[in-house]
Formats: sequence, C-alpha cells, structure tokens
Amino acid sequence: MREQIFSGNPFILADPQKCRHCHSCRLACAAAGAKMDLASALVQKVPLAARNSLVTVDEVTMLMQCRHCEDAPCSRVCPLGAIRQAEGRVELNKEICIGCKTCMMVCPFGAIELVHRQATAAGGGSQYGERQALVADKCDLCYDRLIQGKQPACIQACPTHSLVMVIPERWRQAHLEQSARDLFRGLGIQK
Amino acid sequence: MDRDNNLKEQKHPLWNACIQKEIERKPVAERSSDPASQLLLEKASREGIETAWDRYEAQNPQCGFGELGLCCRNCLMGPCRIDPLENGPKKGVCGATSDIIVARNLLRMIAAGAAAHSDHGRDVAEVLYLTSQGKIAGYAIKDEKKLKALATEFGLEVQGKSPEEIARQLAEAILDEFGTRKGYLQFLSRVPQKRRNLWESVGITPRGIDREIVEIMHRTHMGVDNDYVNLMLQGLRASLSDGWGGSMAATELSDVLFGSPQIKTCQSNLGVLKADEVNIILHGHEPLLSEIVSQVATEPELLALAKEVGAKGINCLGMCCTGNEILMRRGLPVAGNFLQQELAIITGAVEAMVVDVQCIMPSLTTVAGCYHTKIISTSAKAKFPAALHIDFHEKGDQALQAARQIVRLAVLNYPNRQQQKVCIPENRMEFMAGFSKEAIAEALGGSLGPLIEVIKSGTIRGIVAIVGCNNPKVKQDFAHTTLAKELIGKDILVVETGCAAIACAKAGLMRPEAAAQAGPGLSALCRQLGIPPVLHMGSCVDISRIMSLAAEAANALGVDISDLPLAGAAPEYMSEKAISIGAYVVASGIFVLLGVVPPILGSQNVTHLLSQGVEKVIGARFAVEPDPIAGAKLISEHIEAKRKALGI
Repeated sequence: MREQIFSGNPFILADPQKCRHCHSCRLACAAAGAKMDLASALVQKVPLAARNSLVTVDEVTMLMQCRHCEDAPCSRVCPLGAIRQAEGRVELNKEICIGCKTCMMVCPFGAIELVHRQATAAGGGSQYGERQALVADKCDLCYDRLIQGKQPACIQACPTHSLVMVIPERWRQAHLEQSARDLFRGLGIQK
Repeated sequence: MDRDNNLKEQKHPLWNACIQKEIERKPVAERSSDPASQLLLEKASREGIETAWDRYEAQNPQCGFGELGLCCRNCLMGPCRIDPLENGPKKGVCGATSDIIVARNLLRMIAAGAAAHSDHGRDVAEVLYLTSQGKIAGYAIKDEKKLKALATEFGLEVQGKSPEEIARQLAEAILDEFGTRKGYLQFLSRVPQKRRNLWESVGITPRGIDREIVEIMHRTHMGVDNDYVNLMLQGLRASLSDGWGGSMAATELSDVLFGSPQIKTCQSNLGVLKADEVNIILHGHEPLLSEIVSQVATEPELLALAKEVGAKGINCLGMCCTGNEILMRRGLPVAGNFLQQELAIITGAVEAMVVDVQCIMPSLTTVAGCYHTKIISTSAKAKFPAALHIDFHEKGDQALQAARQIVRLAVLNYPNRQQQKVCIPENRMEFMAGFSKEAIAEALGGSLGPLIEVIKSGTIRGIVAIVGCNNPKVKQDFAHTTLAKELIGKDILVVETGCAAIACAKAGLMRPEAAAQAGPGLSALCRQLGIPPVLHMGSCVDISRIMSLAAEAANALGVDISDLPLAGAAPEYMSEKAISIGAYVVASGIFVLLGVVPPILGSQNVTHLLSQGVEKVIGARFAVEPDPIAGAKLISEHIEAKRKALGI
C-alpha cells in the first residue's frame, strides 16, 4: 500500500466545481494538525491553524495547499535544512524552523504559511517568553493518518467529495487507459 | 453543461477512483450495550438496512462550525460563520461576534424544546376541556382527587361543583397560562419563596408559556438582543416556562385524564414482541392516542378478528415517551427507547407502528418499506410521506373510530408477516414503574417526610435524576446504565424519566433485586420498602414530577432547591427538548451533568457563563463529562459539598 502511494510524491487536488466553500477542509486540517478534535482544542485553548487555504479568484473557489514538488524550491533554500524530501512527501521540521520566511517567498503556489509555534503539531512553548515565535507550516499530507490506512483529514471531511489525493503513477495510468479507450472507439474498433 | 461534466467524469476516472469515501464503521458491540440492539444491528447489516448509526458514521466528520455553534443563518446578509482558526473572520456581516451567535443559536434550541413540551401540554389541556363538556368519547376524568387539588391550586372553587365543571374551569385556567397577563405562571406557587425572589431579582420569572418562546424568537432576530448574558437569561426564563409551565401542565392534566401512576411491574425490551400475536407499537410522546388505542385493542370484535387472521391476540407496546406514558398508567410493556425505533421494525414482527409527535425518525417509512410494517401517522402536526395518515381528531367519537381503524389495519396486516424475516430477540426484562410523586409518598407511608429523614441521616446521600435520550455518538444505554450503577453504589437514589429510564429498565436496574448493586444505606432502604434503587418516574414531561418533588423537599426543610443534595444528568441526550430541560433544571437550582458536548464551545464567554458564572447568580451550573464514571464522581462530590453546606 505504502509503496503504491509513494511512487511519486502525491498531492491533494481540489475540484472547484464541486466545492461549496463550507471550510470543513480547513477545520479538519487544523484539528489534524493539533492532533485532537476541535472541541478539545478550544477547551484546552490550543491555537488552531489550517495548513490549507480556500482561495476565491474570478468567482471560483479552490482549495490550495502544498504540491509536494519533486525538486522543491523551499527545500533548496532553507538555511537550516528544515525542509527535506521524505518518503513520498516534502517534510517540514517545525522544531528547527527559525521563521526566516525564505521558503514562503520561493514557493510557487503560496502554500507555505506562518503559524504560531504552539499551533503546530510539534507544540512546545516559545523561548521568547510571552512573544510566540512564528514558524513555517504546510500540508504534511496527514502522513500519520496515511500510514494508518486513513485518508488525509481534508479529504475525509469534504461533504461534496471535491478533493482527491492524486497519486501520480495511478493518475497517469488512468489517463492512458481512458485515452486509449477514446482512441480505439474513435477509430470504430469494437471488441 | 451536463455533457461537459460527463466528459470530465470520463476523462478523469480518478476523481471517482480516489474518492471512495472512507466511512469508519463501528462494530455492533461499540454501537450499543443492549444485546437486543446488537442482535438486530447484525440483522440490519446482513439485510442491508441502514440505521441511525450508519447515517451518523456517514456524516462524520460533522460540520465543525455547527459543532461549535458558530454558524448564523438568522438573516439573509448571511449565512455567516465565525472562524475558530487563527486567521479567519471573527464577526458576521452585521458585526455579530461568536458570543452573540452562539448564545442566539442556543436560545433558539431552548425555544424549540420548550415549544415541543408546551404544545404537548396544550393538547392535553384541550382534550380535558372537550372531555369536561362531553364533546369527546373515550376519555373520562380518572383522578378526581388530583383534579380538585389542581383546581384549588389555581384558586378555583371546588365545593358543590361537578367534576366536569371543575375540569372545564381548570382546563380553561391552564389554557390561559399560555398567554396569561398576570405576570407569572400559577405553578410557580410550588417553588420555594427564596427561589422565586431570586428569579424576580434576576428577571427570569416566566410570564406566560407562549410569551417567553415568542420573545426568544424576537430577541434572536437580526439586530435585537446582542448581549450574551441578557440573551442567556431569556433562555433560562423560557426554559422555566417549560419546566414549571408546559411540561407540568402536560403531566398533571394527563394524570387527571388517565389516572395518577401507581407502582406496578412491567416488561421491557424488544423481547416483549410476540411471535404469534399482532404487534402494535405506539411511538412518540403524547398519551392521548395511545391510551385509546390500547383500550380498543381489548375490544372483543377486534380480538375475534385477530383470531380470524390466525393471531392469538393483540399485543400493544410502547416506545419512547408514549411508551413511558402508557407503562406508568397501564403497565403496558415498553419495546425500547429512541435508538430502537428502527430496530423494532427490523424484527420483522411489527404489524403497525403508530406515531404521534416528537422523536420519530423520518427514516421509519424507509425501514418499514423492507418489511410488512405499516407506519401510521396520526397527528396533523406530524406527517410522513409514505406513511398511512389516519387523522386523530379529539372530537366526538372520532378518536375512538380512528383508534379502531388503526387496530383493524394492524390486525389485517398480520397475514402479511414474512416468517423467514422474523427475528425477535429473547431479551426482556421485568421492572417496576409508576413512581409518581404521589406513589412515592404512598410507598413511604403517606408523605415525603421519611425520604427527607433518610437523606438527613445520610443513609442515602442525595437524589440524582438521570434523564434524556439516546444518541449514536454514545454507545446506546452505556452511559445511562453505567452512571446509574455508579451512583447507586455511592448510596445515591436515582430517579429517571424518558429514554434514560427505559435504558435502566432494560438493564435490570429497576427491579427490587437491583438493591444488591446499591451501597449499604440505599440497599437497606430499598429492601425495607421493596423498591428498586432506580425509580421510573415517567416520560420527559414528567421531569416536572421531579421538580415538584425537589420543591416540596426544599419547602419542607425551609431552604432553597439549590441547597439540596440533588443533581441532574443527561448522559446521552440529543434533542432540543433536552437543552430546554437542562436549562430549567439549572435555573431551578440543580447542578446538571451533560454527557454530550452542547454546541457552545465556539464562544469562550458563553461556555464560561454556563459552566461557572451562572452558579454565582442562580446557585447551579452545567458540567460536561462524556465518561459516566468520571461523571458519577463529579456528581458525588457536588452532593457531598451540598450536604456539608447544609450541615447534614
């Protein structure tokens, strides 16, 4: 299963035509990041931040998040090596992030955002006392859930099924099969 | 457009391939703690029939904004929602904050709950009115003693008047309570003076049953009340108009019409269905129809018809609060509680399920479509597409005629039962019920004095009411029965109503033998009186019996209700009615433990007010604890603190 999934970095893709802008994906993402349900996070006053963004442009709303690039610019520029290619994903280590924002600037998708350190899964306080440090954060593909055989939280939360996890090899294979079918049907070949 | 979509679907099969919605299915042992439910859930899954549990799992994860109470649809500038995450809008278009939105949403739930109970009360009052004028057949005044006591309470002259005349005046007086202009409800005379003064000073004395509900709808309209504290106070006031108004009227007048419950032994759980008889389940809330149906089911002509179609008899059973109403007064068996309504049909042995109002799942007709069961709706207020509607007019002999027609239909449906689909669980449990305030006093030798004495002496530490529904978020009956067992083990007497009561009846906690599971003090008391440690006090509106009991105890001791070692708990609640109940129990001064998180966490201020702040004002608060064992500990600590403060 894991091998199949990680044949190339998968990523989450949204279908704007199905999206009803309910923001469930964002709440689910924040809860997954906090590793607890929303209600508990609010009671325990754990700051919540989603790693995905609902963007509306030209009257179309689309969910945007990290594409887990194979040659990720963020990973190349990080001065601390906090971002690296991990198994099937681009991993960001918030523990050592210094919040220099370089990754944020070079990301072609705007997928990296700044969150309070407490709001990250890593938790922990700030060494600056009251002032909470900002660190970079982004979609981690819900790796913890994937290895348990579960879908990423945003996909599971979407009531209109507008999100899919694109697994590049499978996606391409499906395209090939469909195109072949279209072609031989177009040529009038029937089996 | 359609063509484009089709093309796209074809072009990108992965849109479909990758989105098999992953539904986490709980095993049946996790869904319910009742073996009868478990058996039928297995049957449902074998036969491919969807139940509330399946639908709940398909809904997961549920909407986060709804869960937190942060979505507002009260005007058309919206819908708006407050983003609980760090970087999102914190105000609606009008400027409403999370405090305002959460408070308004909660208030509207209270209004709906209070409306449901109170409208039930109004229906009973109207039937009493028609009965008093002889305009309706099948009903009579069964409890003249209570009729006279109530009339006196309402300041009516009873000397030299016929019961019918008293009933007419009482029904009129109670119907007037819905729109009264006198500034308070008559039943408030039962409330200790201290508490009435407190309500007056805080401004939450209910002024009329309908009025407080209407005022909630007004205040929560766009741009009216924007102070969450002021809003919550109105919520408490409206809930009091339910607890000390609509619900109390429903209970008291049902007692007048159908008799005050007396202690009796009944049977519970789906094992009460009979393999060789016509099974009719009466489901819903009001006793008006079920009383008549169960009466006519004993008529010789209908019994003869049953014999003709090959059945040995007609078996009338209750479910949910209709079940509680008829078991309290007639001792009819109760087939199950809220989450068993679909399962009852899945037994394949139910000829008709007759429903009136409230807590009736719209799915029933779909489930019934897989069996021979007829769903018969009877209230003009509650129709179900695909159900058979037999309008139950409370006029002339129409009620009787409708009831006969319903029973006849059920009997004629018996030959359609498909034997290969029938599966009746063996689980049935005997239990004691009928513990109205009057019956408890009678068991104690005529007054509540001995009960107060054993609380004072510490033989029993206090009294806790466990009430409320089932909710697929909680393993069915588990929280009800675990909490009850924990509490009786700590020598705390448990009184119950509603689906909580049915849960404990099914679990055997309402048999005198259950005294063995109680602590030494409570156990000895139960053995001495021959009663169980968990008492069945009736349906959801009968929580008013518990309120009257609490008020009487407080008056006897010359203290406020909030001084008494009492608590309320709703471990598996789901309905808006339960929210109204929780609010009036807290407003009456009793600590309330909830097992399901109410939709208020989106506002820290409202959450803080209800879980802490409100105690300083009215002497009671809410607590949320999904774990029944931890909940029992919280309740026990609360009761011991109250005892200490009372010096007992």
